Amino acid sequence: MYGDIQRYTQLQLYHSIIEADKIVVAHASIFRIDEDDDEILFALSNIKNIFEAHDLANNLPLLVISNQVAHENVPIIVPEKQHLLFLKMLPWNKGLAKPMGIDDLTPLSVVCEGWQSAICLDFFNVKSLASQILAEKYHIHKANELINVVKEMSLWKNPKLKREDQVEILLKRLTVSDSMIYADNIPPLISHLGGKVPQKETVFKKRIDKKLPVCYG
Amino acid sequence: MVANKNQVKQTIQVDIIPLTMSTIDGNDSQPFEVKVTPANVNVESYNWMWKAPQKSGNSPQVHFATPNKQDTLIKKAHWFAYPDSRLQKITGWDCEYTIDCEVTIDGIKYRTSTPATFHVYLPDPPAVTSWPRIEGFPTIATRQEDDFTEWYVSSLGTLKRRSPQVTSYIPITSQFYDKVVTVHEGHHVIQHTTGVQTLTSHTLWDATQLFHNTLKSLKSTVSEADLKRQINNAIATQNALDNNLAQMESRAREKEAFSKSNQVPPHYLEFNVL
Repeated sequence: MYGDIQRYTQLQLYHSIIEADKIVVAHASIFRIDEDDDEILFALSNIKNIFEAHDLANNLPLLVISNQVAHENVPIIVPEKQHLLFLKMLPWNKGLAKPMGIDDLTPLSVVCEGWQSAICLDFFNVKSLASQILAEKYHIHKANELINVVKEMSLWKNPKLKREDQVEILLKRLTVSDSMIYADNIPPLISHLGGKVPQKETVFKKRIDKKLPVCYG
Repeated sequence: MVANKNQVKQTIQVDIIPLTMSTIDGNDSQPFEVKVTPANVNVESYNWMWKAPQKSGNSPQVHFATPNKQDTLIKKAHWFAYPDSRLQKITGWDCEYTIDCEVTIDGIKYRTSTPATFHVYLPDPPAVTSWPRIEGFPTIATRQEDDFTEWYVSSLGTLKRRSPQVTSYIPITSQFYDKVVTVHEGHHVIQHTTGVQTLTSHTLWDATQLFHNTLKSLKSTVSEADLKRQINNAIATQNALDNNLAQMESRAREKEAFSKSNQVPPHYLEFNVL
């Protein structure tokens, strides 16, 4: 995939945290596969919510549609394993539910974009790019440590918080911890919220200066 | 003679429709049209023109299909680099031209008060190569075991390793097609098929191995559907495990592919491989 190699050297969780309607730790098992289809349907069980947008149904079984066509930046769900999943809920839709043979009230979701949106938490048995980066770059070796980090970085998503309070939560987390995983992820979250990022690293930003002389065709 | 600003504001208004447009590098744009108000004036000539920031790299250029007509389009949109850097992280994927049209009415030249902007971009990513995977299905047969029927896997059937597939989001007319699609993604295809030293993805998604190690021992005394479910699960699990292994080498594969594509002009929208 022609693109930035950096995304495979750090865990850019901020993309997923921003996009997710729901962040869970759950066991994923295969629910349905159509032989001629590129999609696979996973059922989640033993769900622990890390974050959930306030208006989502809580008590229904949750299914995740995942694409079987993989490339570098596609999230991978390993069947029968526990995962940290960043999910986007799909609107209830008879047209979608019926061909899948499910009740049209069953909540359906997709994994957010980017390989980091599905992380297998069985670090000891299933080696992965995520577990490699977590261990080597962030010195995180246990699932619970990662879960706590994601919890901390998702607190700002509480819809009751004002924008300045959201930024304040993130700034506080950034200043009280020197962990690299926060340093890699919190500044982009603050920028996303329109806050001012502490000047620690160079940010490349393209500007087209209207006052510059121009060339003519 | 060019009309002064007051004259333009008071008497003649020149507008370009639309005011902004985006086109992928190598594609033709949608049409631009210039509208003069009041409509009943006699326009003697139209002259479409463009600007790009000075010191831009990769030779900014705009080719109007009909440079002297009321409407025009831009042929084969050309991405330029501003600031002039070979690195994508400095330039971004898009660039912006300013488009204007000078009209002559009664010998006086008028332009728009707000020129149009024309964005030329490459999608991010401009191309991807989907990984191989195990697909198809083994053949199922039945046999009688005492007084019950058993469904079992009898042969490889249509089970096979699917080849990697390149998908391009830029047209073949893009100045970056050769660099991005032919060379970079083409190298990913080589990595996944014939293989390159130090990388292992060409050994993954092995349908024959899955058949001999797992599938051929699957059976069911419940139903054919039950056996099919077992087979589907085994294939999906193997694909997921191999995808997981492939993902661990993503950075190494990209570095290797960039070491090839960075040698191909134009030397823009590149990524360092250090």
